[in-house]
Amino acid sequence: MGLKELAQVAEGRSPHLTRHPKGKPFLINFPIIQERLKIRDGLDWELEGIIRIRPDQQGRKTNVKAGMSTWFMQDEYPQFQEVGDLAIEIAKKNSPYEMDMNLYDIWSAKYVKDDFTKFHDHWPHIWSFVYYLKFPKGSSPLIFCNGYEKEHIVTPNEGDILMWPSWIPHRVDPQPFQKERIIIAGNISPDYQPKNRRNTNYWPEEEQMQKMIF
Amino acid sequence: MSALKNLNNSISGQMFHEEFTAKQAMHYNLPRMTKFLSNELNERLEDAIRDAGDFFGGRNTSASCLMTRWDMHDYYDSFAELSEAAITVAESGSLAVRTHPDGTENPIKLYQQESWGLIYDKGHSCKAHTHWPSVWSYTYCVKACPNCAPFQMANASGGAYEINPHTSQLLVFPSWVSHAVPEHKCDHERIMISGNLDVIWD
Repeated sequence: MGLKELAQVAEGRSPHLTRHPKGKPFLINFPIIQERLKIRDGLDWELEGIIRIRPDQQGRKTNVKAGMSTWFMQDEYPQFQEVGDLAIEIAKKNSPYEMDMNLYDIWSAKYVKDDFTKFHDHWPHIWSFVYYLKFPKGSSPLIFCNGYEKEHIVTPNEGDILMWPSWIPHRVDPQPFQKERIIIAGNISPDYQPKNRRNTNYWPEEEQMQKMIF
Repeated sequence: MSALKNLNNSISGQMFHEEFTAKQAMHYNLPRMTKFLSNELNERLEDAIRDAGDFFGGRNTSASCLMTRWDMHDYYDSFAELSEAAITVAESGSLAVRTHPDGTENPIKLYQQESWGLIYDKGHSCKAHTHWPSVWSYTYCVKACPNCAPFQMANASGGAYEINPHTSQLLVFPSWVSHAVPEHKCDHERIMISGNLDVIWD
């Protein structure tokens, strides 16, 4: 029996990080960034127009039980890439050290009464975000949770962006009224691949290493 | 300052202080490896570490012990074998069920980003740190006794979850979990390997 076979003693997958069968208890702090997204004049109007002509392309088959676009809207609409670029700036500002990042995917969701999103996380990305394009007062907040008893509720303002490490699970409870709650969400991943591994032929100087090595 | 502390002290936003009640570390004891494979493999791993030597020449990273270069799996077959095992463990324990837009499964494939060897002598330790932004990290015990310095996963409220080393033990954990090694007090060496796994983004 080889190492690979022996390694397969690992138990099966868990649909949620928080419920992994090999889980151990921890108490860890993570940041949830909340700030006003500084977008150019007219971008909101353009985004809303795009979302309205493509109200639901997922058929509520994903965790989002609301009208939802396709995942990679940046490939079709540069306006979505604009939002992603602004999000990457915020991610870089809040990361432990400087590194290049990519917008992996970005989509929209439009909630009306009783629409919601199931408990989920965005692992294995490093940063996830939501931009609140329309958020009428009283709309459902974003609820960070561990699947058990703990919850942390964040109520944004219209025009805010929320950003958090992608492995933190979260959900949206049913929208309480018919007024539209329109969001744009996305994931940010590191900008390196096997072909350009971050340390291949790259040995940082001590100052840089202090930033890199924890 | 550790990356996790940096994350904790993020310059904007509010802090999410969550008590994880059942999560995050995967702990694999592979005792049969000790019996059938690990002596041979561990000898090769140890030889590789000694051959590579102390890459940092006394420069101070988190670890105060001997520490090889970061890309040992590119230079030594033994490290490459261990990398394969770690990837298999991590992929089989993957957590999210990612799908393509058409709903078919889109498995998250991993690759070895870095791997390195460490030899702790008496008095050596490793400060608290994380391996963010990698996805999975691992440690493998090449040679140690149960009384050697444990692997500690720090708890934000104080204290730590400790795992005592056992030869041939592979520990896989999310890279964002802060961990440390307290002072090694045994008179013999504590020989370990660490590595980071990252996602092959499509």
